[in-house]
Amino acid sequence: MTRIKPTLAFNSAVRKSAVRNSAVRNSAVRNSTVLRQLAVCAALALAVAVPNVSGQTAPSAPRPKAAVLDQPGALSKENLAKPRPKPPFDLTGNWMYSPQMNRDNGVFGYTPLPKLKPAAKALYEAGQKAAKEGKAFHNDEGACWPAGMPEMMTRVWPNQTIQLPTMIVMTQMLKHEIRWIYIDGRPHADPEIKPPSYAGDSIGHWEGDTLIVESTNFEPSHHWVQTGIPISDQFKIVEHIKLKDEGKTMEDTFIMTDPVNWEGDWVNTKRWYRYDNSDLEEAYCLPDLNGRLPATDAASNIR
Amino acid sequence: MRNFKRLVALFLITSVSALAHHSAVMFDRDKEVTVTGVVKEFAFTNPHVSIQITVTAQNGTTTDWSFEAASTRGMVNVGWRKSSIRAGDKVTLVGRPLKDGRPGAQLVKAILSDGTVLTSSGGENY
Repeated sequence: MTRIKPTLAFNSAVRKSAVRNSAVRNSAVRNSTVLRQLAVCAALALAVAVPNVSGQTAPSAPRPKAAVLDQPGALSKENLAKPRPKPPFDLTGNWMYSPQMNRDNGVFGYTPLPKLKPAAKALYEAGQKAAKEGKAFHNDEGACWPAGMPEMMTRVWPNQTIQLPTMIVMTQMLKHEIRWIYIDGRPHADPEIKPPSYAGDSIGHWEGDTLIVESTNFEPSHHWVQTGIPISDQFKIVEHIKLKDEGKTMEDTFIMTDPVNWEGDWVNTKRWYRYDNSDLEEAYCLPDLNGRLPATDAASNIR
Repeated sequence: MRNFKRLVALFLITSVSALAHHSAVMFDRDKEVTVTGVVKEFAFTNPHVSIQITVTAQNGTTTDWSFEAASTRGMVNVGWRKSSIRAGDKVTLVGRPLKDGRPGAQLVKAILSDGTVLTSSGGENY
């Protein structure tokens, strides 16, 4: 199935090549040679494609979406130049997560918690028990794994956000974790052609004064919402992002679902303040540096 | 300048609770430990500044202590510089100790040999 598209693309390239050759050479004889070559190539391509097609037992099997494969990049001039309504706000700026502004929602956690499914509940309780014993529990971010969404949004380093007409790029200074939120009208990328990621596949659109972002296709390995609460490949986040206080505060309501790990919607609202007097610096998580920090060495952690 | 630094330190001794690169449950927030020793290494690095010092007990035995602090920018915001301390300097460090008793702590402040007090950063100063 997945080989059909390249085959068709190959045919298309051959056709374009034939047209170009025809225009340059402007010769009937040479044109006929090219056509003969084209016929041979098409026959060869068909010979490759037919066995693949005939090998399919389910004719209705999902195919890669042409709209995604043909999607112009967010930075392509063609895409950037498309006429679009003026967005209600511009998120461009450095945003700082503030524990003081988030005392009512769990700060780095997301309280109140949803009703956890048994396996997730057991992990969560093991994390709570470890904390009472002074141990970090599967603190993968401390061991240099990506925090991923949503945790990458609540690190106490600046979140550098750049808004373009087609895309919003957020770079968290800590480990330079990046999320790309596409706002150019494209659908989610087909997981057949885009692998899972820690930031997820994020698609945004405007509704009134709110930016709605839906993120799917997350990588669940070493990926936690908060201590002891894992995610599955069914994890999904819908965010409602607003600017408040004359643009000085960014507010983001997370609606998180994961039917494997908890019941219903897990809703939590976080806030950031605009932090103009800052730029990002390099902040990699390096194993040799980590090894001599008391908080991240092996003795302080349950892995 | 020294008085200014002391003033800054007085006003900025706040809880170092939000390092945020990793869990901080291993530190005892209700206790402070004070050690004096010779700086083995001052790492002016992200995501965390750290200080390794060698402490010599009265009986002559030595122990290497590891103190971790905030990010470079957070520390710069409260008066630290790359040259604030150097290997070989004698310093006194105050921190929140590891709960398990190993020689490590989350830095609260450093008292340099000339009496200058430099607080660590946290919370809003990342």
